[in-house]
Amino acid sequence: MLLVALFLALIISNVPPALAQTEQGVVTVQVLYHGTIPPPTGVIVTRNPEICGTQVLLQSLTVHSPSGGLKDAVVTIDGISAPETAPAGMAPNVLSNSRCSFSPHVMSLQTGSPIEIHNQDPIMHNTHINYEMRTFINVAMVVNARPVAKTVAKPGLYRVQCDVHKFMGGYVLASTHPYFGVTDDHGNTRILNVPAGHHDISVWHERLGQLQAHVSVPPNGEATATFEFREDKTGHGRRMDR
Amino acid sequence: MRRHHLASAVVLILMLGASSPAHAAKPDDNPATQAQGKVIFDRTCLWCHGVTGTGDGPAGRFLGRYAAPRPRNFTTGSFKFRSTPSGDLPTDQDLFRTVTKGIPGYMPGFASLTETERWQVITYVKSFSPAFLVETPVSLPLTGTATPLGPESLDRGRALYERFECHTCHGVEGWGDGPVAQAGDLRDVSGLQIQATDLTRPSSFKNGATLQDLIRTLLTGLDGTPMPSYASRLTGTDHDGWDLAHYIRSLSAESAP
Repeated sequence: MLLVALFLALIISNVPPALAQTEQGVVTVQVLYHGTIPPPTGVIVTRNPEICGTQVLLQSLTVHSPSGGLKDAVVTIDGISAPETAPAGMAPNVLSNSRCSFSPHVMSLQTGSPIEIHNQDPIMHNTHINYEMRTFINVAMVVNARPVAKTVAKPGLYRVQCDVHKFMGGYVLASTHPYFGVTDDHGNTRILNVPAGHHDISVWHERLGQLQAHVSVPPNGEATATFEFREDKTGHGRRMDR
Repeated sequence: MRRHHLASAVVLILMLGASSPAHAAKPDDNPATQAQGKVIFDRTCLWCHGVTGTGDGPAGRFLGRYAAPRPRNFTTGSFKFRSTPSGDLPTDQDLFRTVTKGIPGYMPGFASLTETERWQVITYVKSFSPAFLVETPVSLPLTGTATPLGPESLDRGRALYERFECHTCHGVEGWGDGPVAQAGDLRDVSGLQIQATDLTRPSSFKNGATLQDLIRTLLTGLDGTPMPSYASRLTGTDHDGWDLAHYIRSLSAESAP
């Protein structure tokens, strides 16, 4: 028994400090919207209606019924650093021009990773991404164009547009770390491998703005947070630690 | 023949990256040079570009109030006239070219300043944006072969003009009256309405009207405007850029610069 205890003590004392500090957990988030959903805005298409359709309905609130889950909200852990060992060869984040819309409509990525722009339509789009008042990239994506990639260096919000088809729009939110997620059709997302501990967490939506909450991530456990946006643009976040 | 092509490509790369007359008299980028540049800036540039370089000088605030272009806001790090990829900063040579030649219809050329004075003011202009401290702009190469002007080149250029959908903004005849332009949908980064360039008037081309100037514009696009970069389509092609540039020049009765 004594030998076993000594053996265990030896193992524990030899755990590198960095490893000991990187115990991880999962953060599960649900983002909800409570309120009426405004009717979509109809836009008459004058350019390439044979591909884009004669009318496009723009709806910036995609809410699941009956749960109220809000799609395309970006959830980010705040005030956290990227792990010291960055994943080798960051995968490109594909942004497609598809059926005269950007797919995905909202993208989140880590700085240092590339955006790879594709065009799947048989017409030309120009994918024009701005960071504040500066052009990040503006490329002509002609028919059968090769994908164009560019690495994102700065964290923050990037706006995506096509100057040929003004109804096309999208967003890219870049973080300095990999702890983020974009909500699915049911308003859910899971952020994996989050360092255990107390964290501020925020959610951003293109129309509804931003909410913040706090979570405690247990080692090898799971923390849950729920954000609730309301029609009057108030709302709150609440946590539930497991 | 192959050697001839290689030589042409090398010459073109040099022209794109350093198509400026300045090769000498460039002072070191240091506080003393910036201070000298500030004196020149305050005397010649401040009226449009403003004390803080945001394009709101005493005269600048009245320019482009309702339609683009406004005087350049140097603090954003976004520059139209470059030899670098879309979204990148301009090289020093790019800035020197703009300061020297000006922008037809908008900004006067400052060839009246000595080369040293122009470099000094460029050093000061760069100090408005911290991006110049951390980014190193590199000119885009174009590995293509200059094609002679002729029916074959013009036919290929016309086909590219259609395939690249240049007519969407610039119109079938190049008059700047494409459907998107006519709809008033073209906006610059600050939301001001912007006109598509009338390609039949090359003397008004803001980024120059030589074949090399046109290829550079096609490669880089014009940041802050709807004009996109065609670099991914043109880079690596043998003569597409030249053919398209020949065709664009053919839209005008003006003699070649």
